[in-house]
Amino acid sequence: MNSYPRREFLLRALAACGTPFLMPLASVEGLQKPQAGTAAAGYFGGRTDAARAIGEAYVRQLGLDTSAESIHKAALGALKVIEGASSQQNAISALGIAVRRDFQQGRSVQLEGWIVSRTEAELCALTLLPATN
Amino acid sequence: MIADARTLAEGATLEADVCIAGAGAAGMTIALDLRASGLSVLLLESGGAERDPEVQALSEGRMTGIDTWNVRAMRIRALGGTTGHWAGWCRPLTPQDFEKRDYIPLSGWPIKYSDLVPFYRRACETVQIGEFDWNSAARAKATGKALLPLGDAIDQRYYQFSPPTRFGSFYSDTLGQADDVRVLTFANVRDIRLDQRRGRVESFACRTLQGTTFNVQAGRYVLALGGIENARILLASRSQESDGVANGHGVVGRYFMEHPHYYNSVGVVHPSTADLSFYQRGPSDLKRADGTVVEMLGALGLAAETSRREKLLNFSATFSGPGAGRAASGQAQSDVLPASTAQALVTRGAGDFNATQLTVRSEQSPFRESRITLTEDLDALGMPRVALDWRIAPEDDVRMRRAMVILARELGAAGLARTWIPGDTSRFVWRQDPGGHHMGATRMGTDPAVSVVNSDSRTHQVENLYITGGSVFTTGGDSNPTLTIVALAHRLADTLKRGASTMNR
Repeated sequence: MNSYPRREFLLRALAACGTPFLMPLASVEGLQKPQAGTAAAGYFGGRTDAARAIGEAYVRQLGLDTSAESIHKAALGALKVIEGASSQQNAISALGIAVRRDFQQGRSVQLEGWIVSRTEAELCALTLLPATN
Repeated sequence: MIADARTLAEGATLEADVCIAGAGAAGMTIALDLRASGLSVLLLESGGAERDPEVQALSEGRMTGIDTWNVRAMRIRALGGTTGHWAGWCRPLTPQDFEKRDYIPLSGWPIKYSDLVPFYRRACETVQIGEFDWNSAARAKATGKALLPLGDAIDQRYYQFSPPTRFGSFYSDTLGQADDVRVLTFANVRDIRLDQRRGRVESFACRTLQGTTFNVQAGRYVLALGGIENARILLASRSQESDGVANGHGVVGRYFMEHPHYYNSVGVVHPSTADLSFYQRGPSDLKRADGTVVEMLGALGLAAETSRREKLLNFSATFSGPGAGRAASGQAQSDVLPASTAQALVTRGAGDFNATQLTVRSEQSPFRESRITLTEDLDALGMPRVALDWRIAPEDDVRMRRAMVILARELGAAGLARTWIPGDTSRFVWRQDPGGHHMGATRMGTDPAVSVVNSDSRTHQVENLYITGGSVFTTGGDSNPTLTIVALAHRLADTLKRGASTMNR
């Protein structure tokens, strides 16, 4: 039996279930498309502890749990941005733009007291993915 | 001339064209303006040149609503009044503050901002600040400090700081040398006596703490006793009218307003490279009449259009805390704002950041149940003490939180900062504290059913009785009130001068 890291195993499982959560699989397969969890972690400079706490608050506020499926539901907007990017670096840039646009257009949420953009909250939620493996 | 009422003969009657009760910022300003006007002026002050605990005890009262610190200590009974401990913050109300806003019941002054501007200009000189110029972009340019690159939703504004002018020490000599102004210290108004028709004041019945009684008869009378005492003397003057003077509609004492202050309540985390120097107190390019430099402090508020569109109250937010504006290497300076969160959201793992806090000064909407009443307790003069029941309409708190979210979004949209707004259980406290600004209890308006004085600051019901000070504010805006109080006093002085030929005794 292949010994996949637990996170990759989950991502493959999600893909096998027919979810549209395919970017991680693409990454696993060595393609250049950005991978959601990696992009989210990259957005936060690789320091995800705090982002995870906010992400948990976000999914909780939405009435969801921290399963991969729930996180996927909670993060559709950010996933779309990542999916549309050609590389990890482009994804991070595009996410930065999306965050500012959220603030400009009033799409913010208050989590643990912090006023964050919707995309930002979704990115925080995506950083939870490894913990769900 | 400055005299001591304790030296008067028992039962004496003093006469003047204008009698002003209260020698604080408002009363002294009017007296100064009426010099050489052809009017004789008698200015009554409860205290003397210095604070006296026995005199100060006359202001004792109870607080039954939101804590307003200390009714006794908040207002000073001495020459110069509360300017004796004024911090000197100056900023005018905004044009919007004078307008009727449909979403704020009873908003809308009977005068416009433009009506008050000439008097604001005079007030700037009186309180020793720079010219009446509130253009933030011009200030930033002249001082070489940068405004934050925020969108149109945010109004960038600033305060000027008075030295502060202690009216008692600064203006007493000038008044003392005036031939037509008599200042009478240790003189307390105990009762306002009306004529038979109840349409004019006939006299002020006065008394010293030593028991000497005397009367003042004047052509016109001005109450300039402060935001609480103005209402108190009207309510307590029950010798002829059971509800007091100028209170036929039961409005006196109602609609008491403060400036709810949310001290250090909102957390802001920003990259340490952000330049907040405009928002730290420091020298401006503005000069006083004597050539000295005026200090200023930048602040953030909502633009009038934003406030109108969102149906919000006015506020001003100033940065505070040791980290405000300093490009120090970054650690969050509050353990309430976790450094890791700041690092993630603001610098995204790379770069230093600073944490600071905002103190928010808010407007409150006029609220009928927020009021001053009299108690059964009597002071040393036999005057009923007050009960101050400061309340805030429940929707005001919702509006302020909403306003903070909008400010947070604008800071985020500009890529400047992330903002943290506390819940009720956080160590940052979201709590309405007072600013020591007492307003609204004898409010100005056109409808006697919801106001006490008209646009001339004259009571609706008593034709020769005027009131000035914070108590006549129709709405309070978010600006510290002293500059507006002095502007209104200059305006009333002009009104009194204009009426000199027809309204004398």
